[in-house]
Amino acid sequence: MSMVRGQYAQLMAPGQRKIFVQWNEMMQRELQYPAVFNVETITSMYMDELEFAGTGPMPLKPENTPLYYTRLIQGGTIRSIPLTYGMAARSSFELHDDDQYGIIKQVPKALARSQRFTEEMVAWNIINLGFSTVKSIDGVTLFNNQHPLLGGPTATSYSPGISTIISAAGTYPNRPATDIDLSFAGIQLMTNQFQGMVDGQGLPVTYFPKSILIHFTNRFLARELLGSPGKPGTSTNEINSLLGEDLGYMISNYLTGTSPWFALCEKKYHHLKFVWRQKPKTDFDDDFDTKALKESVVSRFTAIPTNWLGVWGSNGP
Amino acid sequence: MASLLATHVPIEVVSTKQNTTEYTDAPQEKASQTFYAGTPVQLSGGYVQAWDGTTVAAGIYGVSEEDAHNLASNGAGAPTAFGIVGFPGTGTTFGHVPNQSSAVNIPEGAPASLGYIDVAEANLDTIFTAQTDNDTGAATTPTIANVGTQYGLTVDANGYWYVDFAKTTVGTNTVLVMTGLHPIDGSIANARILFQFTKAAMQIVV
Repeated sequence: MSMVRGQYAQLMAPGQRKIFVQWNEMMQRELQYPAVFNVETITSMYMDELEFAGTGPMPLKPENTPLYYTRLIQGGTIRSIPLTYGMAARSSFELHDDDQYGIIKQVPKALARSQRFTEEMVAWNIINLGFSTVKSIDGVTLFNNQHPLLGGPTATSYSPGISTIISAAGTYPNRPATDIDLSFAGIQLMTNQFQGMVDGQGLPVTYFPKSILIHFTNRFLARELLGSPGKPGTSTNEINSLLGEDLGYMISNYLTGTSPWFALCEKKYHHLKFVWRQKPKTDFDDDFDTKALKESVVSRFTAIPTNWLGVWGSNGP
Repeated sequence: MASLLATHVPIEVVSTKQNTTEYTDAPQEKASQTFYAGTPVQLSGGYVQAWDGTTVAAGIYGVSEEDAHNLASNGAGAPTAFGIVGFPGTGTTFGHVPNQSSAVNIPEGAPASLGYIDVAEANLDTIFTAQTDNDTGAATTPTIANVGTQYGLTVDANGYWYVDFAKTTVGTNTVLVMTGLHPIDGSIANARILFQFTKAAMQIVV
């Protein structure tokens, strides 16, 4: 495909008072995924990550009896493979030469916008598809009501106070058993699941959600839920107990559904990753025979949830 | 019957008529494929599988440039638009992960599996090379007199394909036309030759 003068007749003569160039004048949103994803760079075809669980609760050693021996548990491996994204445009020598407004010369800027959009979508689809196809290191979907713990069924048997949180022995949820809309009750449920968090051997660990991640249409509801001094939607004098959770909210313009909502710990406590293999690389060249100018942008990247810890999601309902 | 040689060198691209990079594509791979690089392949329901060896009319999509991945399902792991390579990203795992039945151990250096496979397309531009042999076991020495003749392809016992000088019935068992002697081998026994797939054999003509 080539861009030729016949397609851009208005650029061939001076006299246009104004040319509205969308990719220059319509401000593209700032990149949103870096605020959520841990951005890393690799120099190989793929990246593998492992997980280990520690040891379980320490038992009593009665007098003059031998010690109880245990072992660490090696978990699974997760692999992320950057993919290549690229696009090019070719403009005829004559079009490039005769363009009176320098529009054709700005093709690389348009390609850069396309690149940024794809970056965003690849990253956010980790979350969009986290209920279905995107899996965590444990082999189940990123948002799952029953993430299997490496310690097995006994891992949750001695964890204090989580019997009402979990749905099955030896598992821990980062999704409600029945999906729930963004609501006062939903946020309470979410914070409880974070509060009860245990490690692979069932030892309590600290994970505090920092932000609720929502579709932009839910920002008004989020403000009410997280900002009202009184309990939202009631006429009683109860305080808004969610205020004590110190939660903020974050809007994504790349969430595909309006109902799903998510909660995230600080970046350093979760494992959503955006992995660069090759940052955007622009290139251009002339075709010897036609003298047409070819311009391209190519990059390599992927996104991956190497672990489900520190993130939470509800798919609606 | 069997070829004279037990094994043969894989089919490869050597050049194109337009002196450009050969046209390659990466369609999704069909499940359970175990063929080697250099295998003629065909599209079956949109997925790449080893050529069946018998469909000579519009039967060959191209030649695989890598070994098949023995996928568990058609196109397993292939990314969708704005997606990522599906878990686990390889077909090589070992052992088991305790208490996590869906998790996997991936050995260091396990080949990545992206759900698709690189194929050099059989078209009117790309010139391939392959070794010659004869399914009857007869000696085979290509000469310049063979240029322009159509031949078929046969797979040996080790899974590699050769230009079969026993297959010369046009329209019945031929899929390629010899375009020249190999610049190194020339006219030696079981020499490699240069060839193009015939238009009739191409599954997609571009």
